[in-house]
Amino acid sequence: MNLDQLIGIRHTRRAFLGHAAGIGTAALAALLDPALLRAAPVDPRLASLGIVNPLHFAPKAKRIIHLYQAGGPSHLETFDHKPRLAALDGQPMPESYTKGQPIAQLQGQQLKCFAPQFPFQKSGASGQEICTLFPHIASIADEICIARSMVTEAINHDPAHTYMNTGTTISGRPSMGSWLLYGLGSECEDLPGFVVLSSLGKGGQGQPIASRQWHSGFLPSKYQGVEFRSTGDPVHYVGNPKGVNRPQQRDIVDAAAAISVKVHDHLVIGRERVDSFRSLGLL
Amino acid sequence: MPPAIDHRLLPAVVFVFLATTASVVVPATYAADRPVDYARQIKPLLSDRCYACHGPDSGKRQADLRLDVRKIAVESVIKPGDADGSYLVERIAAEDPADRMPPAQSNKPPLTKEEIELVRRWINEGAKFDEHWAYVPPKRPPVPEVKDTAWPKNGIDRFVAAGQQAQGLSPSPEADRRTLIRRLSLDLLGLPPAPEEADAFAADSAADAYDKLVERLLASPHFGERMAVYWLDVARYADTGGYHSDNHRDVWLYRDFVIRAFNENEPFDQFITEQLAGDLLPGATRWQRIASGYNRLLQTTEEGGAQPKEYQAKYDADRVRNTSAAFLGATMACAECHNHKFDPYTMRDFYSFAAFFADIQEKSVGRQDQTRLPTPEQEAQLAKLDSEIAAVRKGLDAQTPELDAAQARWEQSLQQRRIEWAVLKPADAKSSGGAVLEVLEDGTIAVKGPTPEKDVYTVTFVDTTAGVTGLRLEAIPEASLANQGPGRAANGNFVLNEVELSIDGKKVPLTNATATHSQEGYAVAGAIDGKPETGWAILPKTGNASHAVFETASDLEAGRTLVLTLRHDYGSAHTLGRFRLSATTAVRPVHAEGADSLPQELTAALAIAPDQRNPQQKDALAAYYRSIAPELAGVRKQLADLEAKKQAVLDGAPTSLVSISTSPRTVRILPRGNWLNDSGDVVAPAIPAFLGKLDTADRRPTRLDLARWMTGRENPLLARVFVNRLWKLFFGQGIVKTADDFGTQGSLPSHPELLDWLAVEWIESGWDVKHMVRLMVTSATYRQSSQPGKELRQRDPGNVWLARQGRFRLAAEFVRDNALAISGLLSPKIGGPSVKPYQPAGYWFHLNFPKREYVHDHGEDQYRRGLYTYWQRTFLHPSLLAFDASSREECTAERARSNTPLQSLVLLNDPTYVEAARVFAARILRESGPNEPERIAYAFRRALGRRPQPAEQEILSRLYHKHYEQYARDEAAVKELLAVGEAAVPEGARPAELAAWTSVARTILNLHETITRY
Repeated sequence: MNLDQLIGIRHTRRAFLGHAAGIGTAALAALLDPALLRAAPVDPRLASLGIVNPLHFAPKAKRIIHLYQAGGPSHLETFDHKPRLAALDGQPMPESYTKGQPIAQLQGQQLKCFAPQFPFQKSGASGQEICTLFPHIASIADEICIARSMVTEAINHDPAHTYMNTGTTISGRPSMGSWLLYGLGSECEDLPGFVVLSSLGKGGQGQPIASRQWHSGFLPSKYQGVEFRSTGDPVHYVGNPKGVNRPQQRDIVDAAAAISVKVHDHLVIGRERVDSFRSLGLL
Repeated sequence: MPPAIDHRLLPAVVFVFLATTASVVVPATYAADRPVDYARQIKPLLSDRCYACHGPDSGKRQADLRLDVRKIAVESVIKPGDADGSYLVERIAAEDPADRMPPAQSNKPPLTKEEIELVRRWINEGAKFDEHWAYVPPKRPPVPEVKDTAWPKNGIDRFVAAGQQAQGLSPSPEADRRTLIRRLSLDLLGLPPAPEEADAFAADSAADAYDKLVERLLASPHFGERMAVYWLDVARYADTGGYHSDNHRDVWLYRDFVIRAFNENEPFDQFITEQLAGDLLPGATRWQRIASGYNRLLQTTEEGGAQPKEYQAKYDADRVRNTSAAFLGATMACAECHNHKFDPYTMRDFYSFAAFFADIQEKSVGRQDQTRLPTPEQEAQLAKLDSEIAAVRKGLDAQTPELDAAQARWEQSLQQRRIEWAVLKPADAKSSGGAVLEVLEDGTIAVKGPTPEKDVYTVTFVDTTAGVTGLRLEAIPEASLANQGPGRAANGNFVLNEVELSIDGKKVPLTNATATHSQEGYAVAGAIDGKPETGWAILPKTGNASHAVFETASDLEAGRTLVLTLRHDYGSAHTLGRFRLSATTAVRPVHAEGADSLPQELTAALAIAPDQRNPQQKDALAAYYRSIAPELAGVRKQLADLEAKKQAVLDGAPTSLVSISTSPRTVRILPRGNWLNDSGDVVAPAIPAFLGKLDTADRRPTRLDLARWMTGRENPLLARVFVNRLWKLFFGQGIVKTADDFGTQGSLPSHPELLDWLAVEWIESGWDVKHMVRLMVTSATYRQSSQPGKELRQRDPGNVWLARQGRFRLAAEFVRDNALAISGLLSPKIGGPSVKPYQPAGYWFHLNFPKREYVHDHGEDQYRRGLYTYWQRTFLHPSLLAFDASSREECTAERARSNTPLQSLVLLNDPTYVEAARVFAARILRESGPNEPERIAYAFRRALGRRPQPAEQEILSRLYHKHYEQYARDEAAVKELLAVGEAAVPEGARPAELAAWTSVARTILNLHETITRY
């Protein structure tokens, strides 16, 4: 595939996705600025496989691992030390704090402050305060960034999960991973760029989670998180049918490919072809 | 590959984005000698670059300037006729970036030279502000004259030809017959044609062969299914509630209504009215009530601790979003928190629109109440039973001296009544889930050890006495249990789903369950109703003692072993943690404490001497006595049997969620969408103000008024929005590409006159959907080949000018239907509860409250069409999801069409497709001629509607022989392959041959061509 074709593909994807994503025509016009398409990127480090091209910043990170720990210990017990809270332990919560707040099933009950159960310690040269239960994390305190500025309006599990993963409590929006894959692309032509591993807590998972937390929403389903499962096939339908061995499966794939009619794109994960996007839009 | 975009044309570009072809942006140029078109050329520009700060949203408006209202604009920055004297031009054309609008920090690109020139021309031409095209009611434009009069078959073609003519394009030739019948079948039914049908059509030389085919397809009951697939996305139909536990609700009758409406060609205005307000129509029929379930399709929550007010606000917003998107192509969602940035929808519009639905009865938090909707046959049965019941009841009400005397005796006996309970000490107590049941000295059973999710306790007693009339189960609190129990769940609760009693192996029915307390929705009666999904629970009274009493249906005989089985099916350890059993021989009724006292008015009446009682008291006592008098047991039994029959009919009647109107809730404008803020104005129902006002005098407008306006001539949107979506179904893309946005941010119609002509044609046909479909698919435009020549692909890569047909992958449901139809497995059954095809084990792993296990259906229900698949919102069936089916959480007017590795994996390995392949293989062997080339040819004809080329024949033949040799030596593999799926392997099949043909069939089912409509 030559460069023109590649550009054509990019361009197609962009137009297509731009529309699907509901980006306004203005933004699109900018994205479609032919100057961007014609000119070689100023800095090769800014070249991108996603919709954002060139990238705004030269990337340093290669991948993002988002550990989403629904039901994990509170920020107040881990990374967000509130000395005042400790001082107020056992006392009623100040009204200035609770007034007008949605407090769900606690409505009408007396709310008391609850101090952290384990001490915090200043760690590293930066002096990040981290709970003493996490000595290993404390040992890398100067290499991590802790955001303590997050707020939420969603206080029930379901909308809160959705808010945390998609940025809104309204269902049907793409998850963060889908946006990243869409915006930045993935170097893996043949493997999913956004994978999800879900686990079961030791005491049994207490709350339901929903696939909308890694769904691509109104973006095409190729940006959907691919769930790796701990039982059965790691990815849905990845295993050959019973009674069909690997060479036989290959024969079928090859036969279909050889029947000049283009086989369904991307027949098997891991195959070495680069035209995985060729039929995008050509369906 | 598409050509590079000519930048000079961008200002006047019509952006066209295709989900279907490899093209992109096609400039629809407006000639320089034509006046500048405000709606199409200027407003989108101003909307993009300026409205954010100088538009409809007063909250963000800068410098008090509005560019969306002419009066304000011409009083300040625009001098009509004088571009050079207009401040607007000065600012947008400023050389110095500091002066230039839009400012750099807005992140909006400056206007290009061409755009500025366009604005200048527009001002010089008088700066006319015409309304946005979609907000002006459509008028029927004249059908254009065209040069080539031989090509057009109807009005559509003349508009299309005129467009092509202006571009110097000409239409593609008509597709061949076999392509046409496959295209028509897939488009109108979502199913492939049978080879015999294709042969007949290809051979039919009659002039009206095509028209006859269209009529046949339109009359097929599968037409409604095909249309429903689309509509159900728009209306966001699903089988579950969506939020949190995502539990089941019955709404499949709504799905069947949609199918039926399209099949019966219900006029679309009626279709819409019934959905918005079917319940409000005078003498609403069963189907109209079912249709009104549209208003109940939204996501709802059952989450504990969810706040009703918050969710009510969510539901209000959901309905506005869906109704406006589904019927108006409007993005009103934006106006929940602020006035719409680009379209004239205000926050007041948003909440006034929500107020239309404020009368709908629903639970803000909790399981929604289902409405029973007996079928006409069931209604007849019920009427008959009711009259029989009335007749028997007469016998019960008759007064006799014997009865009076018996009643007097009963009244006396009540004075000294007290139920004695004897504790039963178990001889043995076991847990099926591995818990340890320890019997204490006082007969209490303490549950210890492992905590299984679900559990069945089997408690055995020996040598029990005769005459037992009732059993008591005490649930006992205990400090070591969470919340002091008495259950083992994390909150101290339990759910006792079923209690069963047997004596010496013989089952004894239990009746009349009572309890000191039952949790809402978990009445104790559920513990003896034989249904594992109902049961007794006790929230919020955890940490307290509760007990339940069950009467035995008949006095127990003395038994050697009495076995009591306690089933806990709810999951998450909702099992009893400590309990004890007792028995009584007291005269029935035996009730739990608190439940056993007579109703208060009866106790009061009994306290009065018989001759002092007033008539009401006498009647009440007499009525009560009749309900327990042994003398009337026979009549009561008769009555109970009839009531049971009636209940059985009712239980067999399907249920759905429907709209039930009640007194409307107060709806306020929520500042910034904040449901905690009660300071906003209270609003009454109203349509968006810029679209008009409903004239209902002093009466509060209802959903029916909304429906009448929606389907009236003054609504500019509904007809355009829906004909555009119909068009998309048959051409792959709409005339307006943004099927979900007809606002100023949506794309402009490529053929505005055609769109209006279709809209008016439709309204004037009486909203006849089949008429519009017929019009579209009989057009010459539709019949063109989808094969783009090289030149055409370069000149019109996006196929904007329709000089060929589109080609696109089938919708997710039809990918399935197609494979099943080719194999012959597909069930033609229409409607009914949703079904469960094979699904990877554990896919529902994350569903909670309660945990659920997916059990796939057997027999015919395994092979139903894709649209009947159980639609679990949070975990939609992975095969459908892979092919871009919508999770139906929100309105989806346009599914993405993507192409992913997961799709190939589904086609290759999902047991549905492997099974379809082996059944297809059997069909090939059964139905084709005996030699191999005939078989391959047959397979091709069946799957693709064409003959194989020699090379294709050769490849499949080689594959067959290779795999035949392998399978002939590997009996075990053959056995495994032929065991995929539940369909029977035909008698007398030669296994290795069948297995090798399965490989051929799998290859064919995996072809891109098979899942593509050309």
